[in-house]
Amino acid sequence: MKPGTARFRKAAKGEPRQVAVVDCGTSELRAFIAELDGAKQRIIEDLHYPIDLTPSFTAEKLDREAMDGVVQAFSAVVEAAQGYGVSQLRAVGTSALREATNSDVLVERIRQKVGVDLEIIDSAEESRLYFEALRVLLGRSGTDLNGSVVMIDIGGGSTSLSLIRNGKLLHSVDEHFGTVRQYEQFKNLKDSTDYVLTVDRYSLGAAKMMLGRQPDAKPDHLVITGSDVRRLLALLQPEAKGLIEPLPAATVDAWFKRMLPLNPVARAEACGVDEHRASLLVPAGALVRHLCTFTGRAHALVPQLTLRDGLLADLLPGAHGPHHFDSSHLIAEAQQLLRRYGTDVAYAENTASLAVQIFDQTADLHGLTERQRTLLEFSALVHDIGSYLNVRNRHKHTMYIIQSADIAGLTKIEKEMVAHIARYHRRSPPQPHHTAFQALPRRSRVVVSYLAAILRVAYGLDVERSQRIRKVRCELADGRLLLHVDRRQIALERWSLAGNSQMFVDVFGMGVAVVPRDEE
Amino acid sequence: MSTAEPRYFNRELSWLAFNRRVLEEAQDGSKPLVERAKFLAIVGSNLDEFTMVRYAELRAFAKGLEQPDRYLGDPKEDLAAVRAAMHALVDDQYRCWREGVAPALVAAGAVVIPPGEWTETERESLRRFYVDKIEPVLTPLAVDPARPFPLLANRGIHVAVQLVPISGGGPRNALVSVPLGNRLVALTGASGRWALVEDAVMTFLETLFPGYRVIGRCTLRVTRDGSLEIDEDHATDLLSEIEQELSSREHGEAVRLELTTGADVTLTEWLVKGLELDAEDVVHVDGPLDLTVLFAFGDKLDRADLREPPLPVAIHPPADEWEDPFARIRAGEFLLHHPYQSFQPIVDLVAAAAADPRVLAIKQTLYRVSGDSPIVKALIAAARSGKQVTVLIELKARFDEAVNIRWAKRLEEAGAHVIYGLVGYKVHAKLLMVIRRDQDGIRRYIQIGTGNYNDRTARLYTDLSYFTANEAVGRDVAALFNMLTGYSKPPEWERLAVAPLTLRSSFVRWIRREAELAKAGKSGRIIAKFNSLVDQDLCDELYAASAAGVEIDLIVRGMCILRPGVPGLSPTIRVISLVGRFLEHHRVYYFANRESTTSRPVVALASADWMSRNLDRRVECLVRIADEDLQDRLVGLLTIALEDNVQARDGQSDGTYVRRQPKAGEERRSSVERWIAEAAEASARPVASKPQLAFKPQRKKA
Repeated sequence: MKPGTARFRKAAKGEPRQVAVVDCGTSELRAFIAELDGAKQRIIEDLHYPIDLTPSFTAEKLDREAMDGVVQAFSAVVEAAQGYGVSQLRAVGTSALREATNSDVLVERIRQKVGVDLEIIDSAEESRLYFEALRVLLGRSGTDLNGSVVMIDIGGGSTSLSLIRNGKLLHSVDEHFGTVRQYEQFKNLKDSTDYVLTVDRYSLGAAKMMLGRQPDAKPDHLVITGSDVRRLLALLQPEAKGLIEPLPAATVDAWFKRMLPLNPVARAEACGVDEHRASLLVPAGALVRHLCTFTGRAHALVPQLTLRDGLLADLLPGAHGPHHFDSSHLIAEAQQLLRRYGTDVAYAENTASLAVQIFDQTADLHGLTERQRTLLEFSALVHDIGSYLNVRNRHKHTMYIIQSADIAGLTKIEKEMVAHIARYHRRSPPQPHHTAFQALPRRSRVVVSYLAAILRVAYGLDVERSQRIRKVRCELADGRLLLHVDRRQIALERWSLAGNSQMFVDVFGMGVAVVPRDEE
Repeated sequence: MSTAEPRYFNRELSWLAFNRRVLEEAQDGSKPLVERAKFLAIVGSNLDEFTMVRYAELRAFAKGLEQPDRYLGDPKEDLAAVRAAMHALVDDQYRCWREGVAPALVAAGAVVIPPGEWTETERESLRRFYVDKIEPVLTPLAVDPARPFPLLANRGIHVAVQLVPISGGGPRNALVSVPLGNRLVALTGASGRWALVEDAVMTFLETLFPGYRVIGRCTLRVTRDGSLEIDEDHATDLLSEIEQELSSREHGEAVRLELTTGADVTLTEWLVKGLELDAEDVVHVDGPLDLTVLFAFGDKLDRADLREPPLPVAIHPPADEWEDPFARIRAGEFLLHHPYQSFQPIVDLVAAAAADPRVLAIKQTLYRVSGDSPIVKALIAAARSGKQVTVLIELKARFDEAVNIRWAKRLEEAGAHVIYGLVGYKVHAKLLMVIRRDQDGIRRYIQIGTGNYNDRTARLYTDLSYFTANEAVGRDVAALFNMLTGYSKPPEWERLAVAPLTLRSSFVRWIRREAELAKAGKSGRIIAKFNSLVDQDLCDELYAASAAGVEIDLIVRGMCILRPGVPGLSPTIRVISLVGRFLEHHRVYYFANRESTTSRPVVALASADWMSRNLDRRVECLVRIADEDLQDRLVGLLTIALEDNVQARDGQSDGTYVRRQPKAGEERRSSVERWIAEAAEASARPVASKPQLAFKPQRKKA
């Protein structure tokens, strides 16, 4: 294929359209070529290409050979997709690409070579995609999972945990536990019986850690996905062919105990697969048994779904599309952060409310979107969580807490934006030497500056942290933004805004003044 | 069985036995004369290929030049046996020519005249022909101790001469290569009289050596080792690598020297030494060298009475149904039986796909393609019109490499995605897939064959072709193409079995299931028709099935190392071989699977024989036929073969074959004749229409 030649044709109006979705995992690149006809979907091709991105775990970057393998697999997928007249292709990369420090090089090579934009998604988006896939699958299988559901995807490089309650995705966390990763980590033991025991002990810690970081310790259902878990189900419950099947904890336990004394050859024979595949079943099995134990579930439910099902679900009519969580979900995530870091909730919520009021009333000035409004609200809610560590430099602590947190529903860029909006709520505005800020795309930098400028004004209205000012009416007059408040005594606010509105002046080219009730 | 008797026949001897069966067709006086001459030519052409490949390899093993991976016998003993059998076969071939075919041709007014029988007028006209047309292109190659022995073209005819200078001095030798091309020269005067070009060269070559006297001369033909040695792992460009190797095939080691009987002894010894041959590699023929000339001789005879009547080829599907091939395939899957049913629908399908705007992609494997292939031309047209055309062209198809390279280059120029086979495997599967965006969505139209996409050989080889739009078959074929063209992992196959992945294990599973059923008191039954059985592991499976009581009928055209009908080993196995007007090339497999009244048999078509190379070193494809009507048709075709009492030979437990004859009062049952009738009947059958219900919504006009 010539550089950048991925051109996709459109189906005629009223006829089914063909799409392709690609999941670039740690040891396999998988693609569906599918046909969508209204709400119906049909998988035309289920493609699997072996790749090897394990250097990402061992050396933190991808070598030439690893990249060549991925580019080659992408070329093959694109060629197959073009043969079916595919009109839309979405390709995502997961943990191995998230961790490789040079994955941008690979993304660019793929774009140049085959004309596909490979999107490296964060774990939150990955969880959302699994959630979407599960939603579609439950609908299709007529299954109803009432109450709370902990859904865990055990991948090759990472494992994600999501909490679903009343059909809504509430929370997700991500752990550096993966079947391929564990194999790479302990492969020096692979020829000894220590391998199984060591992986098991490590899995115990991982299970504790993940479950401890989410609010529902005893969910009503435990759903586990991942190719190695599906293989385990096929091995232990060969008759289970349904869309979603229970994998009893006792069965996994018994199997695991049989594996304990076996050498790799005997293990492979017992599992009916090759030695490498058997070595990957071990961490999957270990994690499943510990998760069942800690959640108190007698079985895990194993659905026949993959990340690609989630990508396809996004393309069905009425789907919310990539990265979509409604704002209430994001606000719930922010409130969870507030609680975790012991922030003054009333103060945070009032600041957020003021920021949103100013945003809404200055729409003509900034022209930003509803989504960006949500980013502002989120940033305003969490802007002070850094004081949990230290009041001094709290804005910087806030930034890296956000950068390090599991936040379902924000894209990688959005998460960076939120971190920076919150960071710039006080002290220095963006500077040329702020490398993380400068690394953002230009448009994102502009949006961060607009929203941080608004947040600073809202922040300046409550330095007293007593929520004296709850309402604000904005007026553009004489080249200034006038903030009408329902208080007479505003000397403190005037003083505070004198220091906190400079960024607004720099960004919007107009000053900010507070107008007390008396002056109206 | 006796422990002294081997468990398997020697494959080379089995191959020679097959070529002897071909010779029987030439010896059969009831056959039309031109056909008999062609069979003599086929025996010669078969022997050439056998010599270049099998004989060359065995010879290299016996001489310690190459180490076999797995060879159970003693190569030296086997080589001696093979040489003896080859010489005996050639003697019989030439006897058939001298005593049967040549005199009959004379009687029919067509004859090759040796120099001694030329009339004075003929001799003079030949001399003029020689001076004008031949001599200018001849280059005599003098050989003396200072010069290496010249490289003589593989399978070319040459003349060796011994000369003495008129001015005095010792004798010396020279070689003259006879120009390639038309070997037959029409003699002036009476029609139907021909001379051979090499005879003219032999007769008039003195003019090439002024100052010398020719004291000895003989014609000769050299055959060389024809296997290509390609280091695929390290070949950066397989195409140019094979091009280079092809030219070196002409330079492979000499393995056979053919001389006419009575050739000068001194010259013979000199040639054997110069070509580094053993005396046993020399074959003396009592007649013209290289009887493949009889192909051309047959073509030159304008005598319909000396040929088989033309084959009545059935056209199926009928033109009105085939106007839209895609609609016809959607209406129901079907089989074509070539050459009794025309090959043209395959060409039509590719051509229709090339022209149809709804077609998105065409994918095809090509193994042996004709020099002027309409299929490849259609693929080129499709690529030019912007469709995605993916062609896997096997550059390593033995003896067809040059043609394939030419097509590969032309396809690439047209914009097709061309893949030159796979490293380490030859792609022998015969697959065609057309991806079309129908109104109701994507549909894959599939054709799977047992034979090559070669319009010429399709008139001479018996093959089967399966057309379907079945979703499962389409999915499997698409997955196979993805594997072949893009490194993808194999899926769980539904309707295909694919070598080298699952084909062998599928055959083993099906054979064992029949054995299990037989052991359980249910009758086990296997019928298989294919070209060669040389895989020892499958033989062992069949022996075990036979021991369990499975009734097994094998219709094997060529090599068969299995010993049939041996008590204690293969009591229920029967082997027959069909040799006749067409080259038997079907690969059809039937496993009865009579487990219960509802269980269905496995009936399958394949590109593979029961040879280790097919099962382990080639990409082959078997497709199971699920449609009961088509299954019945295939079983019917196999039954016709089994009932044949004209072309069929029964394989004996000693490796010989006995030709069947209609018994007194028994009707003549020729499979060719019955397959002609079957094809006509099947073609006349209406489409088993399976109408697809489709609602057409009324929409408001825009």
